[in-house]
Amino acid sequence: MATRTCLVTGSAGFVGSVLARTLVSRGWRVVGVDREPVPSWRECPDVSQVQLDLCDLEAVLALVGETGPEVIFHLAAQPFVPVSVAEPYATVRDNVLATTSVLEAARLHGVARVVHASSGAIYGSEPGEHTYFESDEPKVGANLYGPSKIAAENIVLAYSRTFGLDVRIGRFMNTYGPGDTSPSRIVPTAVCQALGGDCYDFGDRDDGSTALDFVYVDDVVAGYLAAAEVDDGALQGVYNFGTCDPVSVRDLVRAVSRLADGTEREPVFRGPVADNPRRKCLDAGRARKELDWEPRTDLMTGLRATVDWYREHLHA
Amino acid sequence: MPTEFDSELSDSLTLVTGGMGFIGSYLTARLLALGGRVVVVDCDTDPGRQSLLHELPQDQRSGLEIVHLDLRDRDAVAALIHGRNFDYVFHLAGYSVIEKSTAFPYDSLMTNAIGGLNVFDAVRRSDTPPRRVVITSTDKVYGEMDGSHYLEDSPLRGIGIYDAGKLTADVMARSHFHTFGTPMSVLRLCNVFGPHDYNVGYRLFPKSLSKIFNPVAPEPPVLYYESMDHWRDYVFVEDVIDALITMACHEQSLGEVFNMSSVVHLSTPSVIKEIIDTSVRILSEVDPYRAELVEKNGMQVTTYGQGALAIQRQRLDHTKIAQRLGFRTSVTFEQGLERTITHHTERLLRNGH
Repeated sequence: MATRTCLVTGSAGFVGSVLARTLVSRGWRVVGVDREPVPSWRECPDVSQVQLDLCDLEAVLALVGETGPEVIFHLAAQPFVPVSVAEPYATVRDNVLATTSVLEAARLHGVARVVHASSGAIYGSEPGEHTYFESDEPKVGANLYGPSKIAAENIVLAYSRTFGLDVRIGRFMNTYGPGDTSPSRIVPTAVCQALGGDCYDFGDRDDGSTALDFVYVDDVVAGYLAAAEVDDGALQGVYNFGTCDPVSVRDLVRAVSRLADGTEREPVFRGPVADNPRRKCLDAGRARKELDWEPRTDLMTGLRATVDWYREHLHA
Repeated sequence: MPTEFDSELSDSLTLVTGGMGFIGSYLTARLLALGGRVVVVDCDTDPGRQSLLHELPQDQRSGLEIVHLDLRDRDAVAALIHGRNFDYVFHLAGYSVIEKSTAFPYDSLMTNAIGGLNVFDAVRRSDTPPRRVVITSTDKVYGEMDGSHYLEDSPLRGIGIYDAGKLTADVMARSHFHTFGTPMSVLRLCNVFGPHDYNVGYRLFPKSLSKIFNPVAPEPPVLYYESMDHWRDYVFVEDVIDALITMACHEQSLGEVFNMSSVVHLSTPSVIKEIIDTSVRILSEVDPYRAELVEKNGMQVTTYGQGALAIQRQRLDHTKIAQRLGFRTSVTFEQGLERTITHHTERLLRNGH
């Protein structure tokens, strides 16, 4: 059977790198596309790396024309909410303009399928308890990240409806796991502090009460693969991927502390006290039914693997 | 019609993006008539382009400056906005035709989505931001209707490329307000008609009228079979200008989105029939021969055949703009039709047959 080729944008990133390696292990020829070089510890020798700015339409057209991918996994993005407030223009550029280049190249070169990484952030960040379904209305909040993802999704769907492009959209919330080194995310922050820091301080972003839907990276990758591979899924399939079992960030970092060295550290959260704490999760009923997807890694197993990875790599 | 806010604009400096276009030129003309100074930016400033602005008498153009600028050029947009202390910004520029957006999807999205972002971003970074930025969005951002009307908080499920570009600008405008306090207001328009709409290739009114008032001989306006069951809201262009001015000046519109009021909700065949009937009536006074031909021609029903994505029924609820801003339209559909067709009739007579 001929080798199938796919493009993974954002393959230098946390999830993109795991997805690229997984695709290679399944026999795909993988072309990774990133603006920045891949960190050496994330490099995969079997992934062909290309460095370019996805906002450069001509470059994207040339790459897609030369490589002829069957599927494009579009994960490249500016993924951090606080960064979207500090760098709003760059966020929209990276999340909307880059997506448009990818879609235009897919349209002009007849790419069979585009799998687009979206986010549970499109549902907004209202206080209170919320379980979101794919049919729920996107909400514009006080940052540019969620709105940029709302816009990108709408452009993806517009290309599909107008030109018949086969697209799949995955909405994810808090992905965690080995290899995530972002200081903006709570799990890496907690693990690093527990393993090497003197304090256990999570700043002023939250009071610890916010409960979110944490999904292990392997389950996220399985979601992308399922969305890409299902043939009887609806054209323009939009899927939530979540555990529907939100965990407060305070409980989460307490668990990390215990896993790190058995110590019960008391985490410090200096954010304003929430009157009506936010508990947000995504209902993944559609992915379960249509893609046979399940979050297979429970939180403790996933956190243990993450802590172990850090223990091995922190001082490497 | 004057608005209660006209005096606030009498000595203002205003930026109108897309000011050479149909609505932009009406807005600019009104602002100039009020004594304001206006900088129009447009990517097509060709003196040969048909625009109401080119028809303004010289003495009404003293406060007007026309700048050729492509809104996709972030630095140029920022230089313009940071170089002047605009009191108001009206962002109207963009691809305004669904078919053109479909034909040039990337370019359309760059203009409608990123062009808008460039304006909002420049205002956000300005040391002397305008009092208000008003942008025109569209009922197309809603997509298919769930109930009998779209409310401002109805889900945004825009369907095509045009819809997606306008939706992006709409969402970005509001998120700039919520995140940074950038003084944005969004007006979602329905179908706008009036004299001086020169988009004869695509829009229902000018396209139909260009057939009826073809200088050589009248031709029947075209009704596409696919549009047979389309129902739309319509409003006269001057009412849109009143709404834009009200939005710019009313403190209750800050950070808010409003549906435009309409004066009629009609099916596309009914609109074409109204255009034909009114044309026949007005022409019969001055050119009975053409009136007879127009009546005899009727409309031509044909297949569009390009699989255009169109929503069957679109209807805006305008309770919010009426209650919050006290806004009311002042030109009925019949009055607007009469004025539009009289304008075409006079132009035909002026230019000869």
